[in-house]
Amino acid sequence: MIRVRDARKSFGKNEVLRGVSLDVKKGEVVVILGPSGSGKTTLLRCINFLENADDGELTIGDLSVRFKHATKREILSVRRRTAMVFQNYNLFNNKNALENVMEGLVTARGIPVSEARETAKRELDKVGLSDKYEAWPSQLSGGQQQRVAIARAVSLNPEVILFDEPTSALDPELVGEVLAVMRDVAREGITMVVVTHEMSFASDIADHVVFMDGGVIVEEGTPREIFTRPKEQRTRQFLDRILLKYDYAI
Amino acid sequence: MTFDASYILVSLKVALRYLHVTLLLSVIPLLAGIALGTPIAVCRKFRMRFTSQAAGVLIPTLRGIPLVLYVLILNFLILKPLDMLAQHYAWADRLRMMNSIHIGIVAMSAYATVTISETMRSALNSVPDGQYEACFSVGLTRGQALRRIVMPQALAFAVPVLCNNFIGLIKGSSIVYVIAILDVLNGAMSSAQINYRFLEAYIAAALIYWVLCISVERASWLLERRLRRHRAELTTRG
Amino acid sequence: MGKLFDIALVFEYMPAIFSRVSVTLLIVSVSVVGGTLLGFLLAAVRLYRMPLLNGAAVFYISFVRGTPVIIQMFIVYYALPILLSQVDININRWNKLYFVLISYALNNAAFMAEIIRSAIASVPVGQTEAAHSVGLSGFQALRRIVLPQAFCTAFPAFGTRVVGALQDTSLAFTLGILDMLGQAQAIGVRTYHVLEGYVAVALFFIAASLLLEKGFAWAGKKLLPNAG
Repeated sequence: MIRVRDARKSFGKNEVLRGVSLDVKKGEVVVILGPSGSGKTTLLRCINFLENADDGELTIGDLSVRFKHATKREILSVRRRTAMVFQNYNLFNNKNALENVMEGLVTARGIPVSEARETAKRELDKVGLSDKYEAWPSQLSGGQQQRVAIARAVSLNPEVILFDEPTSALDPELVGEVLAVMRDVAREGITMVVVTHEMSFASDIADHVVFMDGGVIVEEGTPREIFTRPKEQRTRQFLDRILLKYDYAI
Repeated sequence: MTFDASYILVSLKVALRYLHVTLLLSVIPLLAGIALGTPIAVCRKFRMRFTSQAAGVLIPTLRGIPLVLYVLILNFLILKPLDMLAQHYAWADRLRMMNSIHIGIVAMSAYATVTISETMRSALNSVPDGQYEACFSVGLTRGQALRRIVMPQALAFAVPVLCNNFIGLIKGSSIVYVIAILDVLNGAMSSAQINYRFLEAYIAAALIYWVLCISVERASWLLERRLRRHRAELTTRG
Repeated sequence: MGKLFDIALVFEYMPAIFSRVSVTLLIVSVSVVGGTLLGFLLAAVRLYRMPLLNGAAVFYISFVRGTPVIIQMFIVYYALPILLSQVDININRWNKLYFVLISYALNNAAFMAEIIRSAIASVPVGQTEAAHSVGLSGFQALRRIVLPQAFCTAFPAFGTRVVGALQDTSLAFTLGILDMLGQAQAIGVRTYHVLEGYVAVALFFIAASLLLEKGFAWAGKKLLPNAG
């Protein structure tokens, strides 16, 4: 279970998060929608302490920390309960696919190498990369790199995986393979918080959809509520714009 | 005065006897520079309190000082207090706990630390922020991230620059001439003191430095190719 | 013998030492300007792979980059009179400063040649082809398309080299040139206070290096707005 209470964050004068509260139940898939600059990526990065939020509180399972007063050890234990999938993959450039998955297991978790290797192989198999164990990141396509990144996140068996626009940097023809892998992950019952513009993923897979704008949560509910009966004007405008674009693409 | 190439050989023989001095004066500073310069660069990269501010002011300042001044000033700062002590306590002879080679090594090391800390800083900056973030996201500590992911990548950037720094140190070591250390240059000159063949002696010394520098350049090229394994495949993939 | 270091003397010696700043500036400017001009020639030889000359240029650049500038200075000092006496020119009475100027210009030429050559080589062939495709001549393509782009690549390296050339001038005193460092040593011999003079010279180099670096960074931003 993840709970964020009143997260606030400013970059200089720019207030990016103006008190965001979010609850994610165990096994739930939460999709965060919103126009660019709405603070959704910042929220995700704050949960993983890649940004230090100015105020607010974070609870992951039995661990509760104040964003502002988190100690180094608390930050590390938050990070060890979460995993992140980045927009531009961020695979370790000096490690091959297998080593990329093993790194967190061996170095951060202290799991023996042989055991970690088995886990890593299993996870890479699940994302359909059983033939790419030895490949360097530079030898993989964007879609393959992102699948390794997902395997890397899943292998850590975290309480939640944070997806930060995982398909935005991909060529259109590679989006499908990554979304398919994400669907599998969701089916395994892993808790996910996903920032994305993929409406099909949001409506098919999400248990809960959150719409953010201007640093606050404007509206949240089930996909059906948000997509068919949005209450707020801003939500409606955003969906109209996105779905229109979506229609054109078809 | 005419030119007689045979005297080059004479000087070469003498100068080569002092090859180890030139190597000591460049290899030890290189290692010291890496050992001391890397932590400085890390402090600045992670904006450690106090150390990074101090280094941020000191390093760009010290970088402006030419090597010859490091040698002259440190020579003075190390020898003079010892002389004064010797006078004060009326020691019979000049107290020389350090001979000039040691002073040369200290001065060259100070200079190398300043230069190499800048090399390592740009090497650390050459690794994209996303690599650090990915490390943190899988739960690595800062030290682990540095050791296992960032440094190996930074090294691929740093090696050719470090080799350039090394070449600079080899060439630069010749100016310990000003504090009368018998290195390759002064060795060659010592032969000219006898036969007055200065031009030939300088050419002999130049040849030795040239061969040393070319060897380092060559080694750098080979090393770089090995380190860029994962990058090389990027380019072949097109 | 008095104190080890007297800060007041640093300022006392400054006027005398800084009065020789012109020598340092002369060496820097002649070596940079001369070096750049010669560097263009060398770079052209390398780029157009002129037979024979290309090999000589490679040899020359490698030698200069692989040997200490102090040795180059002495080689010029001893070799130039011998060479010129072959054509009956006697330069034995030349001021030593001329030898310094010549050797530093020759030294910088090698570094500048490499900066210029690699900058020009870094401009993609497609740029030249595109220039030809719209009807520009070879020279026009070079002058209007290739060189401006190469300039952007070369500028930061050029700045670094100028700072390097400034620092290299600190070795001229070994040939007996009375520049700032030579003056500091002369004062030291007279007064037994040599450290103060060295510190004054160091302060000049710190200030001049920082100034040049900042200047080039500023000019870089002004001249190359789209260079990132």
